Amino acid sequence: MHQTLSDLWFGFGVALQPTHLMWSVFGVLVGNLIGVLPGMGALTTISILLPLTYVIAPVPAILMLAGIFYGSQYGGAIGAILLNLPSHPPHAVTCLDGYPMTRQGKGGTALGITMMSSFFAASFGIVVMIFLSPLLVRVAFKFGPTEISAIMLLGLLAGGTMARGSPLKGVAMTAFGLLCGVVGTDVNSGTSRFSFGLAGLSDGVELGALCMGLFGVADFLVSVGKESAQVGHARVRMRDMRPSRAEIRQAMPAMLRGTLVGTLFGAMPGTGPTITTFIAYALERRIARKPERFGHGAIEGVASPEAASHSKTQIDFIPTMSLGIPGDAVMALILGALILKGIQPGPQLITEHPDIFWGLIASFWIGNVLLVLLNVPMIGVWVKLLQVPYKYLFPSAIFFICVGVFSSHNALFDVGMVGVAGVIGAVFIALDFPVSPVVLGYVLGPMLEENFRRALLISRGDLSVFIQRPISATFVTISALVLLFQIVAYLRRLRRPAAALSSGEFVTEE
Amino acid sequence: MMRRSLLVACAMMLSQAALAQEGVTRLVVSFPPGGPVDTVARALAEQLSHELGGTVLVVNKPGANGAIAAQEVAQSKPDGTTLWLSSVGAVAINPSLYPHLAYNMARDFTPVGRVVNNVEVLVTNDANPAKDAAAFVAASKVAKEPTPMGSTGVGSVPHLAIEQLAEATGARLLHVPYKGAAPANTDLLGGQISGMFGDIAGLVGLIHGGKLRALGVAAPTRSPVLPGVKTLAEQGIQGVDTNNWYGLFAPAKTPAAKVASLNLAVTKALNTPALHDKLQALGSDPAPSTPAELAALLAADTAKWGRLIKAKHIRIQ
Amino acid sequence: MSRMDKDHIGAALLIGLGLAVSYIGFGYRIGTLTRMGAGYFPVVLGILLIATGAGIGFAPRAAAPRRSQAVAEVRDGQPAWRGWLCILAGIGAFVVLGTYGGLVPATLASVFITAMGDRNNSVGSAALLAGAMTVLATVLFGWALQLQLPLFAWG
Repeated sequence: MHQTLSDLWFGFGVALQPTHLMWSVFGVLVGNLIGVLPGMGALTTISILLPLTYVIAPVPAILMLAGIFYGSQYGGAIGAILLNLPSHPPHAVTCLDGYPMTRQGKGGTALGITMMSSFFAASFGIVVMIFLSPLLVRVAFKFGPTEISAIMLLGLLAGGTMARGSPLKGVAMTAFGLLCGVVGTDVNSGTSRFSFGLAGLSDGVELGALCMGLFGVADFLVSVGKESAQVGHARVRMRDMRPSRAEIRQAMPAMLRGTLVGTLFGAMPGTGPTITTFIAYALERRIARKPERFGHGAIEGVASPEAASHSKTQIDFIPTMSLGIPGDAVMALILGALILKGIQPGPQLITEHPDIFWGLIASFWIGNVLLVLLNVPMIGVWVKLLQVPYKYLFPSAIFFICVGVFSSHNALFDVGMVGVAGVIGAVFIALDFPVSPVVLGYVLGPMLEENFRRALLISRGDLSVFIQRPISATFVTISALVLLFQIVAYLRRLRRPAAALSSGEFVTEE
Repeated sequence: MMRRSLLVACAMMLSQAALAQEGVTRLVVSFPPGGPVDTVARALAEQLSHELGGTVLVVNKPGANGAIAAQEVAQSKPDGTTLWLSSVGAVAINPSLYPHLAYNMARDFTPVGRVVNNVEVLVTNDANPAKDAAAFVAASKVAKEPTPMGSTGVGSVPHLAIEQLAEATGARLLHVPYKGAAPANTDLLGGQISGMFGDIAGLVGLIHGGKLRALGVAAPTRSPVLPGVKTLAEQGIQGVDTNNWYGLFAPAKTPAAKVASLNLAVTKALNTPALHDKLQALGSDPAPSTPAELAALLAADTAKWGRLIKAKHIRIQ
Repeated sequence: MSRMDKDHIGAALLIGLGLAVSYIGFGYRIGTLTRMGAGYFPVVLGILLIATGAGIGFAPRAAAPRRSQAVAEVRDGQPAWRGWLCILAGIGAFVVLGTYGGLVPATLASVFITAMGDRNNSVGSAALLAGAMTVLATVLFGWALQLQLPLFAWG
């Protein structure tokens, strides 16, 4: 404990050195700015700025790259809430209530709550990282294919039924998402499925393209040429800029719960931030006294998933830094940059390069403080963006989407995919089907299938492993309870049809 | 306002380098940024730009197991400004693995030179009692169930190495494919699988950190990166010979003189102490070659892997 | 469109998709639950799609749902063929011109075409917007961010 605190003190010393601080600020700023552009994620920004790291020392290089990473996450929330454009897939969940808030003229409030939740959750995640990382690493190893598939099952059950309107439609859309996730090369057999001979589909549907299409482009298709749909865009009231005390009080518990969900999932490897946000949202909706408010600008629906995604992101740095095993593509890129600087990531990193490890942790917190200081005064400016006339706004946004989606894999094919996803999304919206479960199914499906098959491969076809291993048994039991609860609720509703109307039969989905 | 000026400043900084020269050489990589091939490409690009006196830009064209990058390079102007840095998979394995490959190595490309050798190392986690490959194999033969071994996918070099090991020793191994190295490493550390083959580059950190134990190197000679680890042949296991080399290829019609001058520049770059040491620190073994040597290596490996793939009925639809 | 119509169309789409998916899925190796082939999961999904489609199409409905005024107005307005076509054509133009022309022509064309989808834009204002975005694209993406798409690529 004492050692940890003195290490941390040392870390702050490293992070606050003027050159280090300067590069950290630079990274945070650039990440934040580029993150605001629709479709431009951390991955693109980091790969673009990678050559810069050739000329600077390892410590400032890694601080800058990490700054870009979480800076772009803050930036991404802005597009998600104000324009329904989730350039960072976890923000797809934030759109669900953040965008309706914007249309009610409360975009500023949503952004304020987002910043607050993000900062709180990131700070909490950093503390967990500092004091609990050896424990978390040990826990992480207990999660094999069996456990991961059990968690995914629970995620599907909890998330698939969270959409508004008929649960059946939610299940149907989740299944459609699962189908999108199946496209591409099957890991277990190498078979290329549903790719129709197209090289661009052999690695699957690109998540960014799917999100931008289903949310952004679909929304433009629905509202183009219809003045009434565009009203919310121009309506900005200054007095709605800051969250009121009542709103903060409302968001606070959700933020805490979201942070805990993110922390829990942070300990489980292989569960991405997108899944975490869906679970956090589903939990909020499940425990809310009036679940029908969700999807119509419930502030808890913004606070909780944002908090979950930020605490999860911070804790995800643990396997990356303490084992040298990247959790996702962005982490891989950051490790690649370290390797290029001649530093071998791995378990020995903390002892061999304490300046990098502790400096990075300290810079996380400094960076998060900076982001709040930068973004809160800017909220007004971002919200003013909405006053750009719609006839200019949507062509520009579409263009940014094209460039952003292109840049993640340098593939124009993916841009075409955005168009297709947009049409599909618009058709579903027009038919009153919810689109968000598609994203959930897409993210969960491949992990469920892949890990389930892997678990059975290793167990030589013995299904009982799922109840023999304690962690997976726990998740299987919870899943069974969730399912039971759903069936009971459904049967009860069938018996009293009048009750069905009052509980969440708002079928419209923006 | 401050942000805008910062952005402009950043723009100036980045663009200066690119606008300084006209000759831009594109180094196309069939993997996303951050992976091992990309890392080698970026290290090489930095030094190569000094040798060529122009910018060398790493272009990531991931997808379709390298086919997207291959087609991009095959269709670009054969003037030596577009090069493909590929690992052995897309050039020597996939032609045997996929019945309808969109490119043809002999027809579409001309070899420029090898860049690095990446031999595979057999690793297990520190809980496993086996101290060397011979013990690992012996244990697999007496175990009740086949020993689960991870790989980075069906038809990947680690997968083929497992097949070679099983064939050479009669070990009972179960192939468990993963999507890339990271999840396989995690499961190996957690004991879900018992062992795996992998590029030394990706495992050297975990080996030095004491989390994984290197049991043997799948190459005729020991690796300069892991000098203390015996080769499999030294342990009496013959016929497991994997080299996930990376080589440079140019579009087929690139003039021979241009190829020769590029080869010279690449060889010079790889012999610079700075790049040599950097690549070695990454865990790759810098190994420049003439175009003819690369052509011979390509032919030999294509035949070797083709034979194994056919014999083991490894097929991808 | 009434709620019933929408549900029937949606149900038909789901059932059609489910049938297609199952059909294609049967083309892969199916295997068993404990030894799944590549086709097992897709076939299960296909069946699930058909089942949910049938459930949505044939389930009894109690009454028409409540809907907010603004949304109903949006949904029930005239089809905006011009907007739809222009947005999709704009994305298509970016793909085609990105391949054969480079970033500058792709930006010009896609922004111009998309902007023409709004009745409030004249040819002039759309062209102005396209020009402005092209300058921005050149400076921001081509120049500052070094997007891996050349400004001009002939042939």
